[in-house]
Amino acid sequence: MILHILTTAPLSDAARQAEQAINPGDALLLIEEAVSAALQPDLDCWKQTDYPVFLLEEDLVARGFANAASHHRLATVDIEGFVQLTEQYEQSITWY
Amino acid sequence: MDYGLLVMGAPYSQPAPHSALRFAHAILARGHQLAGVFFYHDGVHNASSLMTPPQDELNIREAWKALHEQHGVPLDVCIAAALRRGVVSESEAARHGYTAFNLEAPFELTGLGQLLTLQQRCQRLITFAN
Repeated sequence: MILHILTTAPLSDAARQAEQAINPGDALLLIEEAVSAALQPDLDCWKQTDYPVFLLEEDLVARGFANAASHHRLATVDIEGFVQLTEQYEQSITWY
Repeated sequence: MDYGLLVMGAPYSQPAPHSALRFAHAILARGHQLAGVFFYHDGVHNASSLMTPPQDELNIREAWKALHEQHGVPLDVCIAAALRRGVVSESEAARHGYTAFNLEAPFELTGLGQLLTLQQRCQRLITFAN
């Protein structure tokens, strides 16, 4: 079970690689530039149910995307939730 | 749980070190240990004692230093990545005949072996990179 931490925008090379590498049972955490995925509710990652996807709240707020995330009912975690995810998942990969 | 952080982004131009710093405080707040922070690639710029942001902005070097002083967190900097980028300790400056240096304790120039040691000592190694 791996926590995939994506730091880049949804259509970037790193995002595509992460999408290919992720397996059912893993989780995907979107931080930094990756939180712009909140503006695109049609992305594949929001439509699948194989793995949970979370947006980092502080990075959403910093970019003014918090309303978009709540409007589209997308799951968010704060920085403490980020730590909890790393407690839960033994391994992590940062995609950048 | 013991955590280690690998920081590979430059402060002020990339978000990675700022994310890492927030994460560091969050793991300590949850009662975990931070066994060390390893600065690699452009992350070595976090250690520069010459960084001079405006006084009303975060000085990230001071923030890392405070983490060391308050929680005893080792701050290791990859020597090969640092020297390439002009981040130099007093002894390295003397060795290369430079008149100035910009890396001081509690930051320490170390080799990549230190990163492997950190990884082996930790249950979690989290990478912050851009």
